[in-house]
Amino acid sequence: MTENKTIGIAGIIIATIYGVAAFGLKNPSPSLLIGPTIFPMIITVGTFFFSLVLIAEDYTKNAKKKVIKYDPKVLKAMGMYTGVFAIYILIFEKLGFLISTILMLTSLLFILNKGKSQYKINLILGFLFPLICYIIFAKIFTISLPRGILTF
Amino acid sequence: MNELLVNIAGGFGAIFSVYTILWITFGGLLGTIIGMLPGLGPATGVAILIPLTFGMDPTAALATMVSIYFGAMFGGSRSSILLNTPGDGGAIAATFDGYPMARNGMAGEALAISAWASLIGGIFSAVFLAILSQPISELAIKFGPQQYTMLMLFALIATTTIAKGNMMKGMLATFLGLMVSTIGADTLTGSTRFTMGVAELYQGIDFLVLIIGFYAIGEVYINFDKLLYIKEGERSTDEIAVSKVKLTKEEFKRCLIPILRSTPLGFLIGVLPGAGATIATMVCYSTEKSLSKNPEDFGKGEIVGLAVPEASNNAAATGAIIPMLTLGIPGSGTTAVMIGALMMIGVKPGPLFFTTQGHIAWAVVASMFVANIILLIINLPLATQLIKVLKTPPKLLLPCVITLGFIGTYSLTYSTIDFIIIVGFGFLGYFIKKLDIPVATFILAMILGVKLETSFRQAMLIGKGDFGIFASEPITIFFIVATILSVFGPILGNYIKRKKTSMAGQVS
Repeated sequence: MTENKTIGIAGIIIATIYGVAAFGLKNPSPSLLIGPTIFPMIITVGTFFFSLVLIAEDYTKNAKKKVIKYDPKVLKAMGMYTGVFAIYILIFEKLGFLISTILMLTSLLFILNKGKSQYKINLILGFLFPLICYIIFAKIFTISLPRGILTF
Repeated sequence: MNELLVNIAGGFGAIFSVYTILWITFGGLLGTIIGMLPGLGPATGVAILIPLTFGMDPTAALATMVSIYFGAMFGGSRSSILLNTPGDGGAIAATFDGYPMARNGMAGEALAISAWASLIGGIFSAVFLAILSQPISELAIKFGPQQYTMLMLFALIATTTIAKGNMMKGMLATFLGLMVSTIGADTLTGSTRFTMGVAELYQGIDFLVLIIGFYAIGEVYINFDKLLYIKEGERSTDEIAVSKVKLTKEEFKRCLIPILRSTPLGFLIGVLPGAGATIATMVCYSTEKSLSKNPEDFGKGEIVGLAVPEASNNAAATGAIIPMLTLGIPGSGTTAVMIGALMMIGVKPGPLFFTTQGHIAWAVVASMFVANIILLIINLPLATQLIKVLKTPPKLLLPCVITLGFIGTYSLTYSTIDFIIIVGFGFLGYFIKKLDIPVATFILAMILGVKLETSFRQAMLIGKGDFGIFASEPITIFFIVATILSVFGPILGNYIKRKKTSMAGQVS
C-alpha cells in the first residue's frame, strides 16, 4: 500500500472512532451557545477531509506513489522492547526503581547490543547507569522514586 | 532605552550567583554532550534533562534550561562537522562545509569558527530579543479571544506550510494533535471528554509525557533501522583527528561580515512559527553563497560556508523564543518542550510575562548572554576532550536515553499510567516519522489545542455565534491575510520557479 493511502485510511479510522465518541458527548447546558462538542466535531470533519485528500492525491497525474516497507528485523526489535516495557511497568512500583530499571536496561542492552564480546559491557552499564541515576535523582535532587523491596 | 538597560541589568543581577552560574555551566556542558550524540537534538536534550531543574527556583531552572538548549545547539554542530551526522535540522547546513573542512585536515579551525560564529549569532540575537520582547508583549496584552484564535490558527497553518514536507500530511497532523488536546476536562464547562473513565486522564495528557514518548522512545525505534545492521565491533562513522582548536585572524576577519549579515536574517526567520533553524540556516547559507566571490568553493570546505549556518542557527533559536515568551505560543519543537517545562515550574509565559514576572523574564534574557559566553569558554579548550563523547556507540547510549525518559516521566506525575502513554506515543512517533508526517506540527497542535478551543469558544460567545467577529478588526484581518499568504505563498513560489525553469529550458 502507498504511504498516502496508509495515512489516509488510518486517518479515516481514527476520525470515525473519535467522531462516534464526539457525537456521544453531552452538552452540560442546552442554553450554552458553543458547547464542548463543537470543537471535536470540527476536528472530526477536518481529519476526514485531509485523510480523503491524501488518498485522492495518489490518483492525481503527478503523484509520487511512495510505498512503505517495514523491516521485519526492526518490527521484531520493537516488539521485544515493548515486551520489556510492559514487564517494567508491571514491576516498577513492586520491585522499586533500582531493581526494575537494572532489569529493564540490561534487557534493552542485550536486545540491541548483541555479540559475545559485548555481554560484560551490557551487564556493567545495565547495573551502573540506573545506580548513578538513582543517586543523582533520588538522593541529590530528592525526586521520589519508588524503593520497592529495597530499604534505601 | 534606559528602562531596557535597567531591566537587563536586573536580569543579570538575578542570575549572578555562584549557584546559578554553576548550573548554567553544568547545563551547557550536559546540553553540549547530548547535542553531540547523533540522533539527539535540543528537543530531546531539554526533555530528558527537565528533572534536573526540579527543586530549583524558577530563575535558576530557566537559566539552566536555556543553557541546555544552547549547549545542545553547540553540540549538534560538533557531530555535523566531525561525523557528518547532524543532531537536528538546524545543524544540517553545518555539514555542507564543516565536514569537508574536517576531512581536509581543518577540523580544529572548523570547531573554532563554529564556536565563535555561534557566540556572535547568539549574543546579537539576544540583543534583538531584549529590544523586541517588551513591545511585542505590550501589543499582545491588547489581544482578546478573537485575536488569539486567529494568531494561533496562523501559527498552526504556517507551521504546516513553511515546514518541510507535504502540506496535506501537515494539516492531518494538525488535526490529530488537536484531537489529543481535547482529551480531559473541558476548560469552560468542566465536563470530561474522551477519558474512557481513566481518572489520570481527567487533567488531559501532559504534553511533556507525550514529547518524551515521541523523542526518547520514538527516536530509538527510528534509529533501529541503522543500529540493527551495525556488526559487532564495527564503527558506524569515520573518526577524524582534531589537533588545536583555533583560528587565524585572517580567517576570523573573512567570516565576520557574513556572520553579522546572517544573524538578523536567521533571527527574523526564527521568530516565524514553524520556520525555525532548519529554514534559517538553509536560507542564510544560500544567500551567502550567492553573495560570495567564490561560490564554487561552497560545499568543499569553505570556512564562511560553516560560519554562516552556525551563526544563523543560534540566531534562529533565540528568535524562536520570542513568540514563546511574549505570546505563550511555541514556534518550534524545542520551544514546545521548554514551554511545558516552564509550566511545570509555575512560570506562565504570555503577554503578561514581562509585566507580572518581569524579574524572571529578564533573567532569561540575561542567561542567554551568559550561556553563550560560558559555552564558548567550555567549548574551545575542552573541544578535544568533549568530542570523545562522539565515540560512544549509539547501541549503548540509546537504551540509557530511554531510561532517562522513564525517570523524567515518573518525576512529572508519579504515575506509571504515563509509562503506558510514553510507550504508546513512542510507537506513534515511530510511525509518524516513518510516514514522513511532520512531528513538530502534531506537537504544536497538541499544545495549542486547549488554548485555541478556549479562545475560539470565548470569541464565539462574544460575537453571539457570528463568525464575523474573526474579521472585525485590523489585527484579525492581518492574521487572516498572513494565513492565506502562508498557504498560497509557497504554492505560488513553486509555480513561478517551475515556469522560470521551463522558460529557461525553452530558450536553451
